[in-house]
Amino acid sequence: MPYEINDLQSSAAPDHPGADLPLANAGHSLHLWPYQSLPRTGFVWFIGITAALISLPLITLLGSPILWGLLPFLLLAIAGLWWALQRNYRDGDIIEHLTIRPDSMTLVRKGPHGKHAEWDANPYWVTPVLHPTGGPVPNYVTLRGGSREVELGAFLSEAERIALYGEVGEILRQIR
Amino acid sequence: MRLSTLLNGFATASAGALLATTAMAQQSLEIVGHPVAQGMGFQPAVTEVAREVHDLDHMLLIIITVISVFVTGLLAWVMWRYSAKRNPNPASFTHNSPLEVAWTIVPIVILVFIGAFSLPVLYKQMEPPAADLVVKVVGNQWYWNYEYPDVKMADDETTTLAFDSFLIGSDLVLNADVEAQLVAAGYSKNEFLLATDTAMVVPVNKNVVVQLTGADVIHGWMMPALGVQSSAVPGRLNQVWFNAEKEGIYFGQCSALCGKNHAYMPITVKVVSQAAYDAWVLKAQGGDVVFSALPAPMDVAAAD
Amino acid sequence: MADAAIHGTDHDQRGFFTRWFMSTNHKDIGILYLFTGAFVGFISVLFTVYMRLELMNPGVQYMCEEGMRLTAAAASECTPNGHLWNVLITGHGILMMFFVVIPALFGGFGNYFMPLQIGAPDMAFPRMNNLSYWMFVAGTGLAIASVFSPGGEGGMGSGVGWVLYPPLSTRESGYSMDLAIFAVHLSGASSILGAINMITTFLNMRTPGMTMHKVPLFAWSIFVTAWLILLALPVLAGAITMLLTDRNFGTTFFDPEGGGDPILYQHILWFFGHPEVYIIVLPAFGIISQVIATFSKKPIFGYLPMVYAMVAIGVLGFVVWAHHMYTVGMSLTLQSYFMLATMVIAVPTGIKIFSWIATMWGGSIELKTPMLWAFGFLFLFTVGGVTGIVLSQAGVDRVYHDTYYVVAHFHYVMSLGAVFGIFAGIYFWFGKMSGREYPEWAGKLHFYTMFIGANLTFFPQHFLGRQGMPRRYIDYPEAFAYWNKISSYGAFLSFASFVFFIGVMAYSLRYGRKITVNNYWNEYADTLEWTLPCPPPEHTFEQLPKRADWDKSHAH
Repeated sequence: MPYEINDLQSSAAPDHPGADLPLANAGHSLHLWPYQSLPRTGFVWFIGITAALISLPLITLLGSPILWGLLPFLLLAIAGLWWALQRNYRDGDIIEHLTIRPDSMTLVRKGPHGKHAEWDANPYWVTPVLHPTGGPVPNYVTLRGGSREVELGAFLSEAERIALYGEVGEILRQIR
Repeated sequence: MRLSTLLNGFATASAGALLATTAMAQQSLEIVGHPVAQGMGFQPAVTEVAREVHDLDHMLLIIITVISVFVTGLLAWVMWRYSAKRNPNPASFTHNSPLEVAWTIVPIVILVFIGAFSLPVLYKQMEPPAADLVVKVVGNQWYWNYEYPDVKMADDETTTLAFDSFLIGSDLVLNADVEAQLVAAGYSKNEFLLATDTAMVVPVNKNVVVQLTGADVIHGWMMPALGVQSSAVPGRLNQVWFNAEKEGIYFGQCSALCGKNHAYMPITVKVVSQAAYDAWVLKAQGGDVVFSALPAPMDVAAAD
Repeated sequence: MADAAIHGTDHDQRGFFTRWFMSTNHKDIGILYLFTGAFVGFISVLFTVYMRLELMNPGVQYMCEEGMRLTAAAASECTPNGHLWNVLITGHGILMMFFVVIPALFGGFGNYFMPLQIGAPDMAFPRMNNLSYWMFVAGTGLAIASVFSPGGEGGMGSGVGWVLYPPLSTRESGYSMDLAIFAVHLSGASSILGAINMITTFLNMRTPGMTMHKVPLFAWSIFVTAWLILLALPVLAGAITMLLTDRNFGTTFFDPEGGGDPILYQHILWFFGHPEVYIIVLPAFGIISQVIATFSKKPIFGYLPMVYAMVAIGVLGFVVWAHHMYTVGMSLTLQSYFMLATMVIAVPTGIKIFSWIATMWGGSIELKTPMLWAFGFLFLFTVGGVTGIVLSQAGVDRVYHDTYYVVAHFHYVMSLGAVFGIFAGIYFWFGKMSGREYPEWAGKLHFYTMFIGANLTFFPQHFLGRQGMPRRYIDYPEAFAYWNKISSYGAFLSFASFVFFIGVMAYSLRYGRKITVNNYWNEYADTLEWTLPCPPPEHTFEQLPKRADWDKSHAH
């Protein structure tokens, strides 16, 4: 599941800078990211096999000027594929990081393409809201109670969002 | 009509005396290699190579017919037996390992079997024996040029025998004029688009090696009855061979798209006895390359 | 950024122009591809009907130097115009290969259904998808313009065959040839961009849990096709670019007078050209798999062998190219290698055919229109496949090369194989895409006439080939008349069938009964597109689909 919840130990530091002060009060940290179905090793294998196969016609052309006429097109194709897959990785390179402590909660959203957004609120006033319809996706989860209402995990699957809604609600209840 | 267009054109008068001797031998030259109306099979094979190809093809035809009938039979069977009417409750199996192995292995066995028969045929085609006669064939837009490198012209030892071969019927339409030309050359209107004014003449039962090249674009020299086909590529010299076992006239056509008149550059090969061949060579060395059964050469300028 | 966005559900409020001319939506682009492909297909079919009309009788009656005509001319008033003939065969080949079948199967069905089947909200690069489509349209425009611009022999258009072999193509005068090359460039670039898009979508945007071994077979077939396009089309682009510089900038890549070699062009052309055959037919494999499983009410037999047979066909397609060139003067060793390698392709193809039959075995078969087309496909593809075995034998090909036997063979696998796949797909998904039903009797009538017509057209061509009739001939000796006439009758019947099909589509789109259910076949149509309304809304699977929607326990 592309989200995980860690209990913050009093001495443990969450992995993003700016929130690494050891705190007496334990809290919870949530990481959420969109699902990507191609693992990095898959990328390497795919590019490798493609490059090997596309080089086959060059064998017939060794020692002929035609090889140099052909080569740029082949390299361009491989480069295009490489760029497209990397770009798609970056398009999905979003991390939502929700930290909940008894006295404060922050939501940091990074990406895609270097975008950065932050939100913080007092967890006492915050309630998660589940919108079965009306949102951009069914069972849209938002957090209400801060300066503005924000979305959470819109890129997750429907079942995951419902589970997420339950778990965030549970954490908030515990922490109050 | 450019009937006797000679690469090294010169007077033909000196060869006139030879005509009488050659005329006899050709009276009986029958047309062997040609398509027949409603034909479904090959043209008759007159070389060992062609016969082997036909035998191999025959074997393949049996194999592929059996496969096609088998598959079609299975299709018909499932369509009938497992129709929703007869079999309302579908099964749900998705695997059957022995069956899957079988339909992988059996085709491999069949392919190995085919390959075992096919490779020797290929080897025979591709390994020409020692040549008794070499003919150089040059494809042009849109006629063939035949050159006999070992035959020198009578009046000039430095030039070899070479001549062009054009379609009979230069306006590409079968009309009364063209029909008359065909008849004059010993053919009938059925041979329109097959018959040429001059022909490549070769002796029977001799290993003939044909070297092919193209003068302008790629042409294809295809002689179905001889079991021979090769591209004539500019800048390359391809080689094919045949040993025709039967005297006669054989037709072929250009097989590689070569421009506007691609359909109008047929090939005529006349396979004749050694004696007739020798006589023809003598006559051709004099400048008259037409191997014709008819004594009087036609007046082509008028026919045009 | 992370602000919540809650408002009413968005209705499709796009205007006609916005929706169809600026679309970045994979479903709309898929529809555009299908319609454009059908339009170009109609032009290309018109060419063939005219060609079959000419070939119906020996002698030239229609394509005269004095002008094209639609009524037979007497021999005295018609000089054969071989150039016009060559332009038509070239146009037919280029249009069918690049602008009809690939756009319909890969661009059309691929765009529409591949993202749906893997649960992706859209293609990875929607705007690049739009670019691909419009490059294809521009290429089509150039290809058609090429037919009507100054070309060889003082006429219009270029008559060099779709393979564009030099030196014929480099010597063709006029700029028609250059336009044709640009047309293929654009189409190639369009296909490559499309392929990169499809590959990225398929690899990285599958819904969670849908591993490579759970992807529906149609989506798999599109992925393998995309991969073949990516590998093959750049080679073609390079080859024709060199043709272009040979023609216009005095290079001599393929000119023997400058040290080039025309045969090397053939090598790289066929390195592209043979995979192209599989590019054309693989998506049809995918469609047939879906159709057969649905109408047999049985999960596909041997899913994994089916997938790997497709991959194997794709990979093998890259190592057999010179079997198109047995007669150009290759060494014995090379001919032997290419012959043996080519024969190997029969193995994965056989696995697919038998697995399809096994899927139907024990099933409960409903002979609805798409299933009829699938049966037709299986029969015709088998016939075309076995003649492929014959042609793969280098020794036998010596007799068959460039004869009508070859024409019959590749039309059986492509014109009949791929086109029957397209029609199966159209009837299978017509309701899904349009939300309307077609009259079942009309679909069946279309099938039967097309099946008879196509066989009547192409089966006699085997006999012509065996008798030695060469390809690309405007006229032929009297002896070939009989089978040519029958072949022409078949072509006219097929054409009538095609016109009828256009009528059926026009009628069904306007007046067909509305479909209200999501899945109008049965529960064995179990891929994700069947969980959506007909037609699907503008935006689909922006939320990830539920696993239970696609992961059927009975899948394998």
